[in-house]
Amino acid sequence: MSKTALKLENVGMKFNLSSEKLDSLKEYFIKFIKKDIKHDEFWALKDISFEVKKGDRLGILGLNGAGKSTLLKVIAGVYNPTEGNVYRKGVIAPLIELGAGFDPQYTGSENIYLYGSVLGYSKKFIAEKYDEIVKFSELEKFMDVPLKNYSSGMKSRLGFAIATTVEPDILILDEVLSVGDAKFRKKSQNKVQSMFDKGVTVLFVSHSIEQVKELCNKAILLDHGRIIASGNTEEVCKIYEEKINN
Amino acid sequence: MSRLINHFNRYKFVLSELVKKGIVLRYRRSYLGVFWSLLEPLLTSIVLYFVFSAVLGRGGTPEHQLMTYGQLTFMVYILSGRLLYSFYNQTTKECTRVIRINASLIKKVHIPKYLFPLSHMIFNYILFLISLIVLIVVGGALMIFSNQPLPTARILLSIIPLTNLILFAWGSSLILATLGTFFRDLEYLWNVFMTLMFYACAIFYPINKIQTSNYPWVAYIMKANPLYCIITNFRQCIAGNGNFIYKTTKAGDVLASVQFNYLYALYALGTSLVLILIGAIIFRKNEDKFILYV
Repeated sequence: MSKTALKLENVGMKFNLSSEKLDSLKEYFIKFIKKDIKHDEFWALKDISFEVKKGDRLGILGLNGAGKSTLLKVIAGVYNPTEGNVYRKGVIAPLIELGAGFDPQYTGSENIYLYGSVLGYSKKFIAEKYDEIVKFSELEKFMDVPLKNYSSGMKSRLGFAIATTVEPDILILDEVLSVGDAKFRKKSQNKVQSMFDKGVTVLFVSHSIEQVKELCNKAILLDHGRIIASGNTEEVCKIYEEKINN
Repeated sequence: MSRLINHFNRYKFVLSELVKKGIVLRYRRSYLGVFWSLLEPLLTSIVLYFVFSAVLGRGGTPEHQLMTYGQLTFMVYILSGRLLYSFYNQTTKECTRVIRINASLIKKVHIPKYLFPLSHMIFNYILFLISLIVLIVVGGALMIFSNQPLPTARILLSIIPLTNLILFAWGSSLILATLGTFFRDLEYLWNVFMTLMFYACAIFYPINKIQTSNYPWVAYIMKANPLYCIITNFRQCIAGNGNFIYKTTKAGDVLASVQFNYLYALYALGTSLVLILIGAIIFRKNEDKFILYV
């Protein structure tokens, strides 16, 4: 356990919950003149600090609305935190929201390039890995078909194949992957397992204590946007169990 | 500086993919494909030509045309104006909702937001450059057949209005993309505004018609429109020597020879740069909030 792969310092994420959503100019002006714009502040995350060493597998536990997804999005860089800093080292493969950026009009092969570029791959890299991606997704026959004609299972297979073709330093998993049919699920779990074996750093979000215990060596517990416990998986899971039973 | 280059290298592939997507998808499943970007401006210009020369009696006899449009054939006059206008129109219209239509990406992956308006502007500009072919072919043919002086070396100066156009569009796009994300009304408001702009750019009539009308002050407002200045200068660049434009003085209308208007060029460039500055500031200030509104 040596180098730091990910470090968060006092990260906070604030949302403005306008009591009414203002998206027309007229409303805005009327409210503005009447000084009636209310912003209820809501801190989805507050004072989040933790450090993940290279090779650690961190489980993130919490009830619904505890801020787990927001935390993942902050780590992945989708949200810019309102305060605090996030230090990341190396390539992050967020296996959340597979297939973000797929265009339904585009064909399968065009989408590989598009989605790959969105994930930050280079053109050369995608060209090299193209065959591998197609083979893994088992969609050889459908590469020239527009994505809108794909079934949802096919789409997620393609998304998974593209997202996992890199060798990431940090892998972000939201729940356990259930992609496609039983056969493909097995295949995708093997793929994730092989990444684990290579010593990738993992962030794993789940409701399931069993899965976290199985996969992770460390854990944090979130509640209302704050970390209320962190440390060994066993200890944190115990606190979480107590919290559920209350 | 090296940070800028790094940043560019990192995102140039995404940008090129987004640009490619825009071009490929616009004409996918149409039989004529990208050929439409030639045909569409030509056909609409022909419509304008007939409406304004036949119905309203503009265009008129060859002599009349010579006087009014400074020997730029009415067709070339319309076409050149419309091509530049429609690039600006298309780009800014798309940019009022560019953040919203890319919401699925913005919500899920980390990607600099300015790439969306930028990619829209670039692919529209590429299509615009392609559509200039129609101006070269049709304009060239008309100039030769009607025995008009051909463009001179001044045509090289057209790079100035063409560059200015992209700067002006970029400044406007940044502002519209920001405001359009927060206020959806802007999309509709802007459509109305662009209709006004269509008439304010003197696309199908010469501005001296207004200068000699009962409301000559309208002409000053029109000249304050940077897009008008850009279009006018572009026309000056493609007109041949020996072409004249009509100039309104106290003594009445006199002919003045065609030349590049440096004052217009400076003015349009200045306003564009100011727009870009304002746009960049408000875009940067608000881009982190976009995700909460889409």
